Amino acid sequence: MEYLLHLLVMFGIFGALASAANIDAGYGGVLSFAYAAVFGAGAYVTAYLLGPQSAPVWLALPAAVAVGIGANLIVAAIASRLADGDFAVATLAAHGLFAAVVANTDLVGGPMGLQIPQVQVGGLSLSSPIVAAAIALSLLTLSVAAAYKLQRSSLGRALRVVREDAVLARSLGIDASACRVAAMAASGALVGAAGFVFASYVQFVHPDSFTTREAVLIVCMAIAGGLGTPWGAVAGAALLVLLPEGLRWVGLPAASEGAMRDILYGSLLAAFVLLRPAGLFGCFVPAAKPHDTTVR
Amino acid sequence: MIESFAQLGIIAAASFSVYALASLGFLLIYIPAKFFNFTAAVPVLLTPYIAYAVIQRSGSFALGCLISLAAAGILGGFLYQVVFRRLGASGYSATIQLVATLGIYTAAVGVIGLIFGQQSVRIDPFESEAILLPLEIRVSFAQALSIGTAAAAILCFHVVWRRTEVGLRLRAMADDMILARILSIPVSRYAMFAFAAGFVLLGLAGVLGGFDSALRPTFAFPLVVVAMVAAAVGQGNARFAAALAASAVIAIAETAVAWYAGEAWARPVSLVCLIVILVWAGTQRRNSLRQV
Repeated sequence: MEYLLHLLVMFGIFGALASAANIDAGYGGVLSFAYAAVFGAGAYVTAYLLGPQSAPVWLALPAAVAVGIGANLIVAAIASRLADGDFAVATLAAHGLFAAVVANTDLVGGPMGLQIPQVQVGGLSLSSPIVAAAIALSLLTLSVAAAYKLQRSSLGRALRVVREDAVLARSLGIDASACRVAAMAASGALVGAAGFVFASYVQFVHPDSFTTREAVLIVCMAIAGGLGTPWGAVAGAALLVLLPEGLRWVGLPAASEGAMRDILYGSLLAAFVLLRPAGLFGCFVPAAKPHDTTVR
Repeated sequence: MIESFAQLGIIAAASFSVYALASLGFLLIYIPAKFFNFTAAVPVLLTPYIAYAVIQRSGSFALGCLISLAAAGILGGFLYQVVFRRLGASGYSATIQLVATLGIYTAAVGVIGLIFGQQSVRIDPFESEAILLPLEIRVSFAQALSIGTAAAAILCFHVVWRRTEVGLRLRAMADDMILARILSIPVSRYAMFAFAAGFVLLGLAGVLGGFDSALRPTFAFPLVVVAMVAAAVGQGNARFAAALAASAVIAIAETAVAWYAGEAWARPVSLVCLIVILVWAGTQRRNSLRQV
């Protein structure tokens, strides 16, 4: 039972992360690889406040959300200056930078990571699997609702115009930068909150929890599920949280599990892009634009 | 003091030789691919591991290098035919194409981890033997081999690029792919050649890099980041001199940072350089578009 609840927690957290990626990439056309870093920043802030600082939960959650928003807005600032492929590379580099900084900074435990004491709210422990599952699934529901609402809002429509053609959007009087900033602030808040849920559930944050594998996994979930639809992220998260669990039944040694996950995520990512770029439920495939300013 | 700086200079030169080869290989495959692609990390990763496996079996270092570099070349041609031609014809955005290549790289990391495990291995055939130069400067055989091999490879590359028909046609493709096609250059064949040659250079960088640092499944990524910086400095054009200069600057900066702040802070140097140069290049492009 605890194992199933753990899977639900991971499904909820990664579903919310994939949903955030879908908001930025599926609606805004900005595919970032820095979600694992933003997620890690939210988790580290939570761990730092709840651990060494012994701060209350009501302070740690808004702080994680604020850091998520701030970090994603930095990404948005980079996005406004870069074209398409260059932006993806820059965000991947930003992720690498984050990993290097947390692994070498003593303030956040360096390579040893940070331990968090058990956090209780109203007598309920946030590290209890059933409570964590309820919180993670609530966060996932919130993220899907946000994506659904965004799809039908004027901001969502403006974002889709920006996604298809930024020049056309500008000629229609749409402020492309403001639209993207609003979307990325919303997705940053979700990612920061996911960091809080993760840190308070596992009670330990470590640089190895936010590696390039996680950065790829989040994007893989969004693309496999399908960009531009609220349910795509949920389907992608379900597929990629549950599928690797099947490896446990194959009887591989524990040391090979990480390698098998890499093979699975990598193959799925390449296969989806090459064979089914719209994903399982997607309605949008980012295409090359004629006035694209990339260096091609 | 002079001895310390000279020693640091040797370390920087050895790093530069590896980075230079990776940058040349990366730019060569950039000519037909036209986007930052992570399959460049695959030969950097696979070649030293193949060399390691062959050396373990046969005991011959030269045979290990030859087989692994041949495998890198074949892999380059194969990936071009199977993946890149398809991607090029797809009309997807550069980001989506990049994501596909990241998937291939991630799968390759998994395959290496599955076969060789997560433990680090070394392929230094000289077991840290060293030559002593004046001023008590110590140059390991591995460093000397890296510097010598890279110098020879860069010279060969320069001759092929500047003085041969193949180089001329590749330069034409780098300048304008459509015009090259109009001029009846067999673009696909030369693109496959560029991929094969680029993968061999990247594989060579991987093998030489494997002398210096222990091989791990994640070993290739930092090298490719440096190669991306080199490509970004040339703003995607085949400016090999600019790429070599960028490689030299990063090698010197990393060595200086490692000496001053410790080895752990050396790797972020190239990441910071990549972000800064991409943002700078993006701003330049935006400004030039505004002027137009």
